[in-house]
Amino acid sequence: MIDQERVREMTKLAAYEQREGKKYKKAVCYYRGDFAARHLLKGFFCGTAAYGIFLTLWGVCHIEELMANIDSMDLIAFGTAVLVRYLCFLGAYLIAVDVYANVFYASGRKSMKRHYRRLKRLGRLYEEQESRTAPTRR
Amino acid sequence: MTVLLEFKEGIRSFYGKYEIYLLPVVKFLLAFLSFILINRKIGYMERLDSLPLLLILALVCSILPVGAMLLAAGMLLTLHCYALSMPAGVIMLVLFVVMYLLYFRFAPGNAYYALLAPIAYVLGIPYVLPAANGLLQQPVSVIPTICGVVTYYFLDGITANEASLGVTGEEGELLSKFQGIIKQFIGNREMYLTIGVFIVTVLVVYVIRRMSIDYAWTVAIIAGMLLQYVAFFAGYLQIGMSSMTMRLTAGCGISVVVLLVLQFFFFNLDYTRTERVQFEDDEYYYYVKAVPKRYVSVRAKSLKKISDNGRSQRAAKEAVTREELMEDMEIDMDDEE
Repeated sequence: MIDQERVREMTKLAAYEQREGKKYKKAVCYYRGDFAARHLLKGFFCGTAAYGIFLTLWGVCHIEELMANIDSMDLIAFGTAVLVRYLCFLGAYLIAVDVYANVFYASGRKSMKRHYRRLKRLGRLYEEQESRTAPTRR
Repeated sequence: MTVLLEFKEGIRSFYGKYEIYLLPVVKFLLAFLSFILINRKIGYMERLDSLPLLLILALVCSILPVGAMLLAAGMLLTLHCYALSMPAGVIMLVLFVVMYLLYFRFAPGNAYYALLAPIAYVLGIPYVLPAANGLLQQPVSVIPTICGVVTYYFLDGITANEASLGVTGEEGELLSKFQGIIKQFIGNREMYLTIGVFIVTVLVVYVIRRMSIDYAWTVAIIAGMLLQYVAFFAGYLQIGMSSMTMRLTAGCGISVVVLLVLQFFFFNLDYTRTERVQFEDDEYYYYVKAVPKRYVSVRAKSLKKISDNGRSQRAAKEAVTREELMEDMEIDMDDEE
């Protein structure tokens, strides 16, 4: 006979694995620090690439001024200004990435705990059924 | 009200029953609407301006994740811009790459807001989006909305200057076109105003709707829309776009209605039956406020057959079986005799 409660639990488990589970599966196989560090590393490269694009666009916009003043320009001051802006941009971006990664990881852990609780409950239901159907020893 | 609640429950149960079919249909419609709007607004590449192509593309998007829809829309936009002028296409592509690198790479979940933003602009109700972000999601969901806003204003600039951008000239003009597009995009004060107001609105709406006050969602909607109205009104006057105020007023009015409909579907509470209870355990004292949801179960429709055709047939059937039984009985009786 079909155990309705077990079917309900199994449906919930399957629905979770198909939706939320997929999303959080990659996160919870890491430690929190490792997960955040992985995101920060990716963020560093992405942020640097994005800043490079911004800088190129700025350069295209001001290419005439740059060409006209390149001889008289204080290149060290110019480079420092570019570097300081880069560090500020990257700092702000990496803080945002870190916050996102931590919040994502925390919610992933929470939902996975709920999932494991459900799995345990399902295991108990199986055990109960086995004990009911097993022949009694005399 | 009861009729509306029944209608809501009907929709909910219908969605629950046919979710597997409805979701691709909704995705198909969203994709198709987006592609049609893109073609209408900047349909510079004639090859892409064909209905069968858009239908096939939307059909493919309906079975793929939302990110694929965004990618398809981005490709269409880039190709159209490229057909008008090479610099426009390149900058459009660069814009998408930056958006991908900075946001969609990490959180592709709310990508559909980036598609909805330009659609909402075309419909004249962009003010719905930040309030909806604050009501239904976390504040961070405003980022895809901002991506959509940025894309819309970029395209707006392209269409405004299509006459000058479409002219083919010498190589020196290419650079000036690049510069013109970037400078116009960077100098778009309306875009900055919109981004600023949207961010503040999301935060205000989010904070208010999470407060433990009666009618929190309604208060959040009204506060958000008032904030947007006042900020945009002042901003438009400041940047010399006073002609936008009529559109703003109408847009805000319609947005409030749309948001109230959203509230009805997602957060419909009955504050007249609020219960406040207090209890304690070893560590805490609890002050609990419980507000029941408005709920009406859908009436089960039962069909009653007035004609007695079926009944008479059944009766006839029963009569036959009785006769057979009687025959059986006779045989049995004979046997007994």
